[in-house]
Amino acid sequence: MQAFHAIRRNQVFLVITLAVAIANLWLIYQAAPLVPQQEMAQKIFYYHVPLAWNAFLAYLLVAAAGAAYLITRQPRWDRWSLAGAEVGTLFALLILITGPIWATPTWGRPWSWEPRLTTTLVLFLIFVGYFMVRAFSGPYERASRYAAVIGILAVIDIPLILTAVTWWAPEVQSHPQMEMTRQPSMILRIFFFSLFSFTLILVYMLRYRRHVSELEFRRMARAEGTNDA
Amino acid sequence: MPKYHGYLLACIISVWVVVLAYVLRIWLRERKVLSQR
Repeated sequence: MQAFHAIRRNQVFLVITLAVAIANLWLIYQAAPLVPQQEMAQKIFYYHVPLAWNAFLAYLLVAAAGAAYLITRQPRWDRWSLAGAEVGTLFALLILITGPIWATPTWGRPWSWEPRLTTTLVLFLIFVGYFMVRAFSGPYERASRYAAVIGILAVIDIPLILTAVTWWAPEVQSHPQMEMTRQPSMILRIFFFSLFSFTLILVYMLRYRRHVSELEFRRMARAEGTNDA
Repeated sequence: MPKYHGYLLACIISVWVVVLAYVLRIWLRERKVLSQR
């Protein structure tokens, strides 16, 4: 196997991803309309929400690949699951960084223990536990099996996060309850472009991480083969 | 300059710093594996 960026289609994908990300930045800065009161702070929404949707996408991959691993016991599913968990947790961390940056000027404080924020933090902490289980569960096969079960159970938190703003009583809510369809069309168009941009970044990172896992796995298998001989 | 410009800038910079740091980490791991061949 060769280096990820030595492959032509990966180079093309990277160039497209970067070009779309730069165009996205330009749209957010120059074309997106200013919302009264929040002004530039509102534009954080174009980064924060696509990061959240893509983190959930990555975690759904963790669960699906984890289930496929438990059924087939093929290590390639485990490598997809690991890539999804790492990139998903990175995106979840970014949700937890960008959210407080937006909340500081809007709420006057960076954090509130309200339902959506708390359930998002819980999801992030579940995946911190996921990596600890992977690191300390002993043999590869056992660690992968335990991690797959945690990855499947963790996605139960995603519908909780998505419905947190309606499930819990209005008195405990402080998260904006925006209906996407009621947003002006310019805001919506830039939002969906940003969503597309972050999905490209997610796919690039997932494929790159899985590629390196594959390299490490093959090297490990070869080293074990050499030891056996 | 519009209000809260610094917050948007802080958000964009932090996202790209974290993303690029992670990609750099994967790249270093890849180099390490490929150099051990």
